[in-house]
Amino acid sequence: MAKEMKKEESPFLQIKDLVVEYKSDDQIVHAVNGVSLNLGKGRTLGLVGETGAGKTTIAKSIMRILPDVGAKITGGEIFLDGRNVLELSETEMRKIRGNTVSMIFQDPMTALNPVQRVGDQIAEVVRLHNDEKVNPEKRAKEMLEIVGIPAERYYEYPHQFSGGMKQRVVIAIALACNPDLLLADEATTALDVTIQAQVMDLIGELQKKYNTAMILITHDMGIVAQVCDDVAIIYAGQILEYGSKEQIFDYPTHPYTIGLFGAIPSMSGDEMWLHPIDGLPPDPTNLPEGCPFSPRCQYASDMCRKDGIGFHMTEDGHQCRCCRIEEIKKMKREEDQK
Amino acid sequence: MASVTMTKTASPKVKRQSEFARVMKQLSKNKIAMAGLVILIIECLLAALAPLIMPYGYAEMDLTQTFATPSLTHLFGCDDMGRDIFSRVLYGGRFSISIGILAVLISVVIGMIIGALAGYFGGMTDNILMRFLDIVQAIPGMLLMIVISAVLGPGFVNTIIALSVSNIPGMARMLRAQMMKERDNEYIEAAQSINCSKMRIIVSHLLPNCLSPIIVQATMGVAQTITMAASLSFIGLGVQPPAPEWGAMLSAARSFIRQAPHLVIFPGLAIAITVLALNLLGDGLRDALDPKLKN
Amino acid sequence: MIRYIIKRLLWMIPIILGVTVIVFLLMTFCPGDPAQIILGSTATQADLEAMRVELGLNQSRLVRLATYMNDVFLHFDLGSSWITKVDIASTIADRMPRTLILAVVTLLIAYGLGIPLGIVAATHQNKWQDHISMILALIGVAIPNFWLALLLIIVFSVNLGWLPAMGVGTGIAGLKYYILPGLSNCAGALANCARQTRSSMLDVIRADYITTARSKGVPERSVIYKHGLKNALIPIITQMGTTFGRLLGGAMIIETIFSLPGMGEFIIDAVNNRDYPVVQGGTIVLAIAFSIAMLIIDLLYAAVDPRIKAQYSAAGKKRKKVKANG
Repeated sequence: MAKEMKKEESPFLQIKDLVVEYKSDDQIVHAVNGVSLNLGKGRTLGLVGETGAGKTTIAKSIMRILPDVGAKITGGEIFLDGRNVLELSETEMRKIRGNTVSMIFQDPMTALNPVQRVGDQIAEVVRLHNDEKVNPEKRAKEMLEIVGIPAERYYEYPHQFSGGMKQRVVIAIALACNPDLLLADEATTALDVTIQAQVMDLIGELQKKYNTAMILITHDMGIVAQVCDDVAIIYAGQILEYGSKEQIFDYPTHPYTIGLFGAIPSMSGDEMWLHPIDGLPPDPTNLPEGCPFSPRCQYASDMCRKDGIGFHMTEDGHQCRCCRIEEIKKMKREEDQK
Repeated sequence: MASVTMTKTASPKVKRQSEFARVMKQLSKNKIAMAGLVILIIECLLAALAPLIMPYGYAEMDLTQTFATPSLTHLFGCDDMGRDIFSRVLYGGRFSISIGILAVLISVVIGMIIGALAGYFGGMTDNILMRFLDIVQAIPGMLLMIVISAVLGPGFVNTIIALSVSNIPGMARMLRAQMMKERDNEYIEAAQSINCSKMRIIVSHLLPNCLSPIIVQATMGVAQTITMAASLSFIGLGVQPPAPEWGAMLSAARSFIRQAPHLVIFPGLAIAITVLALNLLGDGLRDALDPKLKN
Repeated sequence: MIRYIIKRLLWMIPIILGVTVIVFLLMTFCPGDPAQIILGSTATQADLEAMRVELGLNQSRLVRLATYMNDVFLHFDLGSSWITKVDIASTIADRMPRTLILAVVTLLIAYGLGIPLGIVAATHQNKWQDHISMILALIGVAIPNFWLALLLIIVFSVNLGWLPAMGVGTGIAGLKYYILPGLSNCAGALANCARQTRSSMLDVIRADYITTARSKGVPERSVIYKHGLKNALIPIITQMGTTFGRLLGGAMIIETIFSLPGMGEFIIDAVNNRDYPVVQGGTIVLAIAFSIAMLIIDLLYAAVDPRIKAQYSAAGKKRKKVKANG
């Protein structure tokens, strides 16, 4: 099933060699270093990685809403439906934001304007992207109902809403114009587990209904397993491993991915301890030469520390940025046998 | 974060010293703040050494030089009695700077006591003190100062008292707010749990943590107080002529505004430069003391 | 909301009573014999004695205070001036509007220019617009208002002759008498406002909801003015309270320079002539005006921030609940 859809002509979203830097206090933070990915309509890609790995920056680059102070896209191309987003004028870009592409933000507590009525915040996006035939207020109320909030709460302010309800409002804003691409940045991290499930169900339903493509940014492997079609493992602004969910979960290849799974409690195994990855992510102002994971990698060789590592295709569509795949596989097998 | 506060409680002395060094280092990197500091130091030196530097005394009259315009012999010119304005401005710095610093020191100390009592004890004490401050603050600051100096009469010491009294409510309120914020921190609970006396908690735990905003506020306060003092003597209260206070000089110059506008320029410029330098230093201190506020 | 306003107005009563008590008691410690001040140095001993009895000075401070409070709050009588013998209350009624006009003109100039200046600085952070605005602001804070007044007189009245240096006029043309006083009094407030606007705008621009607004496709102008400014206004309004107090105080000195017959000139003349009833009455009235201004500012606050508004309405209800329980 997954392979069938992949053979579409040109994918809806195509990112090629994206490089983003932040400048602050004479230091350059290398947030994203050459990320490429493809996403077809109706499909869901999970971006998985630790805090600060550059996931949010990738999403914000697609919408071109990086903070104006210091952040700069220094290389690469982002094609959305065949058009290079990075070359569009600000006016054209405004038509895309909230309409073709929309984003659900990480922290519902701060994502809403505290001095504007909740309903007006939804209606605003409707008004911006529709002609006069659409009544923004009516549509906003409709959206409130869709996300499970009574329409009469249109006139209330964010401080009268709980965290979960605020997140629903943020989702309503993001979905109000039936976007073709939804960027969900840790959309459920700030919520209770029960509400998390509700919100994910809600997003999934709407996604199915409108055939929306989605990038799901998270560090929660559980959610990835639930909703994603494809997975990209991000580390220090690079994709280390990329493949379908089944490929990544069943045959994790990169030592970092393997480490990530080691850091998740497995319900089936009889392991006593979690296996955390030793060390910390590298300082993005001073990335190591060669493979960025090499300082923490138990399999690293001299070659890893010297040269940039390219992608190695292991099977159809499954890519891994590691030059010692075979050795690692062998070593792992031996370990498992013990 | 928690560990930082813990070390603070455990060894306040060591911590504070390194904190002081850190702040000074941060401050010395800030060129604008350093410029302010240098201007202030030069100004203080000039004021202190005025008798050695200046060929004229501040009260020395030379009737041949009445209303002399600025020249090499009299850099800033002379006033209606032929007194050298440059000398008077330098001597005037003694009044303005010492009034500013002393008045702020007094109001900080008293404000600190009131604020600390209200902030730490809360409840009834807080209520009574704050309602009293409410009343005092219902009178605009300048007016309060005028009324108090009317009661006390003019003079150097009375001016200082009037200025400090009108500064106290603001200081007390700020300290109280700061105390309230700090009081709820866990390290205070920790101190209470090991049976620290209230006095000890206030003096050795709360006050040091409230120090940063006080230092900033005080620096800015000196600037404001210098302006206030000049305003007072400008309207005939405060320090009286013939003392060369900047405000008093401006007040005298007002009568000759048509004949000799240069009399107006230099004393005012002196006030403006002093206040500017203090504000620059204050801004720099705030940035150095509170890294969170930076950018 | 109305409950809140009423509560605040009621709360003003003890404050103003307190102000009266403090000012009255302070004034009784003023140096000099009131009878001597009123009658002048030529008065005989007998005349002085008679005057003291007339003023009630032979009674204790408390009795005098009670009499004064009775006059002021039950008969709205602030007494009459010792020197000019005019009725204080009616003189204040004449003069107060001028001081208020000056304060409002100043406030309008300060915030009308200060807020845009701050926004420009914030939206061009670390560019030349920012640097110039902030240098201007630093200078504005540093210049004493009375010095600026003298400089403006030298330039615009003495040299250019464009604007009057003193007095008042009537009608719309009379407004020109407020231009120089307003300008000289507003420099500090304008500068503070610009600095405050810049820093709170910078805070707000980084807020998540601004990113949300951008992500909705809101044009940058509306992002700044519709989403940003309304949030940034909250700390600006807070600062307005202190500013208004300073403007009132500053206006007093400015009025004496421009011979603008307002409250400030009235009170300062009275202080110099030891006309104490005028000082007392003037202070009380200014305190009332100041308290009302603070109330208006707090209401403005509620108009901008729904959270504050909710607090105000909740405050009244909570009290009731506590009372019902206790």
